Amino acid sequence: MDLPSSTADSTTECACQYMTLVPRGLHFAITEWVQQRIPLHQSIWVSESEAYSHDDLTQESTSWRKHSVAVPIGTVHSQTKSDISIGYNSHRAVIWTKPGQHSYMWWQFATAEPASDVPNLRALGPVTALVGSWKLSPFPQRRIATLSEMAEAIHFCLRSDSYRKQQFPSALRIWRQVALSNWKSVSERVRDDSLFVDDLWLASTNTDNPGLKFRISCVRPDDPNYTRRDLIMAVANDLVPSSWTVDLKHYDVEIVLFLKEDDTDPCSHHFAVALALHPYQYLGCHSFSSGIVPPDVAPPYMTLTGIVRLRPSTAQLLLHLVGLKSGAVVLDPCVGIGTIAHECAYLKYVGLGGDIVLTPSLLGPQATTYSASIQNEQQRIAATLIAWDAANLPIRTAVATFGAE
Amino acid sequence: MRLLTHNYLQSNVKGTEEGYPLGIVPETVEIEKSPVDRELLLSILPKLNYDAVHQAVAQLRLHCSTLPKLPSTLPENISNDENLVNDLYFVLFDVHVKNGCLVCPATQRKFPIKDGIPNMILHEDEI
Repeated sequence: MDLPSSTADSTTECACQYMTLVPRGLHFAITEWVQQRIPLHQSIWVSESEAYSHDDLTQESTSWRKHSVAVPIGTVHSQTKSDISIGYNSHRAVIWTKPGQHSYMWWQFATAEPASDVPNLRALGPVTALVGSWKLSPFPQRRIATLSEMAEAIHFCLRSDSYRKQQFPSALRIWRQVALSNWKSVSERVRDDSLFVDDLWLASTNTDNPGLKFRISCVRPDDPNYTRRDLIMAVANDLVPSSWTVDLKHYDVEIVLFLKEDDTDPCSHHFAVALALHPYQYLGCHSFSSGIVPPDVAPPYMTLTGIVRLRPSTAQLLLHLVGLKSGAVVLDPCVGIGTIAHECAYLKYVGLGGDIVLTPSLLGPQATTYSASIQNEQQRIAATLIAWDAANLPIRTAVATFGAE
Repeated sequence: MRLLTHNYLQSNVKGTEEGYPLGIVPETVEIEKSPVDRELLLSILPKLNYDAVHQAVAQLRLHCSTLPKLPSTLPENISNDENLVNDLYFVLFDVHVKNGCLVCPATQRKFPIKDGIPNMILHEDEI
């Protein structure tokens, strides 16, 4: 993974800060990054990844085997012939031989999250670049209750040298790298090096330099005391350099605020600031936290304009929570365009989905296009969908599994 | 429509007792190669009706001769037979019946397949 060389943190810590929320698994994000940076001559690459918490990861204690292969550490070479792929380590000793004309990538990923939370990282929302996270607990006996109290607590975090000179510029560099590498089109402002200097707040005092355009989104449980908009308005001036201008539709950077109560500490909140890494403004949808079209990820989901559908990451989370084993059959009797069935492939479940609207005269053609896009653009298995009446399922008995096995 | 999906489908027409396995009459068959996922294949075997797979492959071989020949019964230690694992994965996941129909073995009722989606919706008098 390419990371800005100007950051002072180690590569591993940068990765932790960068990969705070990952759509459809670390696997997809890692493979996507590598395939965009390394010329791959084979038609099929298989990417295998595993995540470890810092709590667990040591060279001696961590051994990862995938089937009969001890996952190699260090430089790996591969050679593909017509019917077999062979992997070598840097000493030219054979590590694996596998039938089939494809090659393998192996990745270990270290995260600062505790080991118990690592499996859940595979199913959470869109990718963001984390600016910083804080625990807000200004009162020893109670939680923050009012908007003014919350704004004051957040101001204290955002007005620090650490935020302005290290955290925000560091995350913005990651954001810019992603934008220039992955987005099909970016504004001239994003290409302008002068807008990405180290001391953004000092540079913004130069009135000739207009700065980037931004919007702010907030992810927070409902609170009867004040709205998300109230909170955004209260802290907006401290989030970004003064030269930046608000544009809710044609923005460059979307800043996302995350706020939630601490489940274990009755006097605290968790607060985080992140930069959304997907170009929602270019994809015709609203933003990270709102909008009809799900904001997490890229085409082919975005080709289905005008259709309201379940977020793929939410579908993955649901599938995770069920806790099934590999090979389990997941039956979605009202699958719609196929979201849940298609997401099963990531978790090695067999997705079986159907809907009465999947006839050729209704959503059938769009579902076919969607399935083909998953197969071709994401290079993963798309489930077969069926036009059926959920009140009369044409499924033989002893197939579907409901709940945990 | 993959043969894996075909393995789960049956005719639910009112009064039909032997609506499985459905016959396949293909018009268009496409092969979309994917990496063999051995773990996934071995884990789905307990829910698979192998006889139906064998019959389906035999029907499709009339249309697509490159399909592998499968043994008439599934050996107990299939995990030791890499070739059979690869062949079984191929026929279940990589062979797609794009157009054609499924046929109920009892009533000969045809369920059309269009662009890979079988239409199993019944008429009013079949419910």
